[in-house]
Amino acid sequence: MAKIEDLGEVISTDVLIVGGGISGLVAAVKAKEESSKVEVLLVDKQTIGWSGKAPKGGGFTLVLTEGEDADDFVEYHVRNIGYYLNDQELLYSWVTQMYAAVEQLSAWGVRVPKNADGKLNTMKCPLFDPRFKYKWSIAGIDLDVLFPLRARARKTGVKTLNKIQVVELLKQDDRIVGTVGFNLIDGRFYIIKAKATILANGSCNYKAKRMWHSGCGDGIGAAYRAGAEIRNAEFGNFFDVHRKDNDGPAFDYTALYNALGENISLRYIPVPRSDIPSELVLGMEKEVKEGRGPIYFDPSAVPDLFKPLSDWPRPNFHNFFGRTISKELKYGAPPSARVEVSVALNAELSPIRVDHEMKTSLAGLWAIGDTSQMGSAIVGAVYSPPAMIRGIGLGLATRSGMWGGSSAARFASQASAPKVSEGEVKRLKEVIFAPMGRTKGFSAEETIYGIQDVMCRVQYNLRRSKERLEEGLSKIEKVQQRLPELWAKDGHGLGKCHEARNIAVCGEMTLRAALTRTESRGTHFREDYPNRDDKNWLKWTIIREKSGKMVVSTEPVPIEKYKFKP
Amino acid sequence: MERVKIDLDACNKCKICVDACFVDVIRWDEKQGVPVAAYPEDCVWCYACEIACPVQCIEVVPGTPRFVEPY
Repeated sequence: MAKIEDLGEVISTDVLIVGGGISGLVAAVKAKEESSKVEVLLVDKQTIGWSGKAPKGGGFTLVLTEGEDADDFVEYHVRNIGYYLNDQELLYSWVTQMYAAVEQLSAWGVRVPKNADGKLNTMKCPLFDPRFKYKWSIAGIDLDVLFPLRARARKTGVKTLNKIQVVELLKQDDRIVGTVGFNLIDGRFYIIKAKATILANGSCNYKAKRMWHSGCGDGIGAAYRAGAEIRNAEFGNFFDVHRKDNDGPAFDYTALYNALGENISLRYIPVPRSDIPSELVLGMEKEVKEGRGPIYFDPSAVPDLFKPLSDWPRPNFHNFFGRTISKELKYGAPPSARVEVSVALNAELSPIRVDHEMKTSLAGLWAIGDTSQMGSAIVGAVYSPPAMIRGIGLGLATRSGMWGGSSAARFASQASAPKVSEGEVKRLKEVIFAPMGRTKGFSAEETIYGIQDVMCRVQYNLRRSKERLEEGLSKIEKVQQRLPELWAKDGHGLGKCHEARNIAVCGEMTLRAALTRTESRGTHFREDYPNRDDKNWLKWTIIREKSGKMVVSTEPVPIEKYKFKP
Repeated sequence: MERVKIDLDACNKCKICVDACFVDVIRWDEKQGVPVAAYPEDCVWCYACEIACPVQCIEVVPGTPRFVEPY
């Protein structure tokens, strides 16, 4: 038997955090605050400080300010977005803690707009629909948020490793004791032993929209293969409205017009919403199918909803989006022009099941940020981020990082040293590097396209039916049958092969959960079961891997202990 | 068309563009001691490298989005 050190680079730590975006960095800082003696290692497949969504997103989060009631927010969310599948206790905890969480970020050096009196400079912003009465506040978080957090983490002794793509989790009986992966640059194999492992490496976005290319469900796939429970995967189907020319967003959603010049937004949005409702996406499909396409967005028809956001003092936000606008002026249509739009999949599948401390169903494993926003059940019957209220993503990533970092550090200070089986490491190494042994076969790009060809289509992933879901699953199965033929010529290509494997498993779990839920609720719409069925479906779907098969079961929502009932 | 243009005469070799790229397009050429657009086909024109470059020697040309037809 080979020694483990002969197989690759071996590293040991108390707490391992996979993914150096906002949630991973916050967890690292919190773990060190919980116990300065706990060794914390943060790894990322790219470069910590630049990866994840926070440096490219909206730069704000929801907070409650004076006079804004937490119960009021929870009730709105449960009755209009999560449709009673929320973990209402967790949603309440989160929203009541967000103001303090942003103040904590500020204390750690993050640039946050503030008033002269030192309080957060918050605003009520209608976001995507001027008719929507937005009753809660948002606080700004500038896009360079990861730099001060990285500095803080390193100052407190957190170690960091870049360009390491983590592929699988290591098990000691039923406990997770670290991970294996490889270096994208030199292809070296890494074995990281850890008393506690935190997944913070994002949701699955299927590489469909350009800015979210890094979210490939790396942690979701690894957790699933290790036996962790997956919850509410059917709701990971966010279709966003985007400009066809540059994949940029189309703000706002009340200004969409068909080829006849008719406003279709008002036709299909049932009541004013804070974000794009599925009904509008289905309406856009209907307009095009009935010959009234293409659909246009006309910014001149609406007031500039985003002016308040633009006026906020967030220099890095202005740098980042200012560059995009200057490029549009140079190479394409200016942002104010009437442009053709379509719908594109963001998905935002984030289904690793976690409890209130962000612990998964496996001992020694936590999942935070975009890996578990849906799986925590905090958002209920909707994808997340943004869970129909943009800005929630940063907030959940921050708070879940705090919860998970503290909990994992407490566990690691008491836990025994991991024992890793050499045989298992050797087997995983062979699986991980198998594509490097082939010079032809099936490419990562072909795999990803094959899955996109199902998941990005409204007919499979939004306007669902038993027949079409089965058809979609059979297409995914055909792609999966060719995964053993994946080939790569270098570390970069190998990384994409494993992203493709995870994208495939994420597509399968979404459709299998959707097939199981024989009703319509939230963003899950079944043409063959068009109504919400509270009698039979106040349930979460649970997915687990059993003997190589994906098995779906259900679990009743403990609605009797929650405040808001149907 | 060249998607990621790096003016190596102006480049100060600080490597920040390599760090800034979240899709592993820009790599550091150890032999030449310069940044190189190693995988330009994977560029998603986020412009993070351009913005970060202290001497502004990078020009990213936006590509054409490729999408599966949703309807």
